[in-house]
Amino acid sequence: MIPLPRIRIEKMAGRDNEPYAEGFVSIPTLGKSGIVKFLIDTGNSNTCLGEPDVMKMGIDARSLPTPGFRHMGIGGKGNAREIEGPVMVCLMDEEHHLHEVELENISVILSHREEEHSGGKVRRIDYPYPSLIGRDYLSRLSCKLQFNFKNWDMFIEV
Amino acid sequence: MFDMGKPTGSSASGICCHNHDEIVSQILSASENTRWVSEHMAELRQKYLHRFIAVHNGKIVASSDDQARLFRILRTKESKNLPVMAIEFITGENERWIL
Repeated sequence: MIPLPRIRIEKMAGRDNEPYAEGFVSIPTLGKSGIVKFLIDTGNSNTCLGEPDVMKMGIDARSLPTPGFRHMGIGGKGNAREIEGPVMVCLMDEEHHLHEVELENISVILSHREEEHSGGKVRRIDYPYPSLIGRDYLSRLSCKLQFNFKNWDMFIEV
Repeated sequence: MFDMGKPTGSSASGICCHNHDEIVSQILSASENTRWVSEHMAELRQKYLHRFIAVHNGKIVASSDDQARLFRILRTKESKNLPVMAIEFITGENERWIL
């Protein structure tokens, strides 16, 4: 039997073993594209981009339109913007094939801005959110997830 | 799915105008940079807590509290390697992601 292509899920060991995969995003309507590190998040309904990943592509996220829907999460309502599609999201398997899903649009989750006041100085900190691969991408690929936390044998089988 | 070394699909595809080998090469390079951050997180926390860092080839290319400032620096100094750099915000050990 020929084994199915597998997209390896890596772990961010220094950050509680965050499961991630590097991918590629193309936004033809804006003429922008880039490499994005995606957290693999089955609890997330829609694939989305964090603000730093969008800035890396040369897009000013805060000038994008506000979406016509709410983004709800653990922290309450998310502060998001929307990129009209089509947006192509790809992950790469172990044989270096790209697995592409076309999304109608993609949300950008803006970083949470806070100010720290200390010694008469103000320090502005942007707390970013990661880019997330959600169930829309995973279900469109009709893939199978393998999460083995015992020896970190983790794959998206396509 | 697209084969390595071939153009990436039909004209309907958004990645058709990108070179497949170039995408693969960039993903591999970015993976190396991210892996380096993961392996050095403990040391990075000592020096760059609550700062953004940009990493390429095992070096911190730039850092800033402010994401906009970081990208301004990178576009001036290091725009060639920016697509494959690992851009990470360094969180504390006592901080948790709940998404």
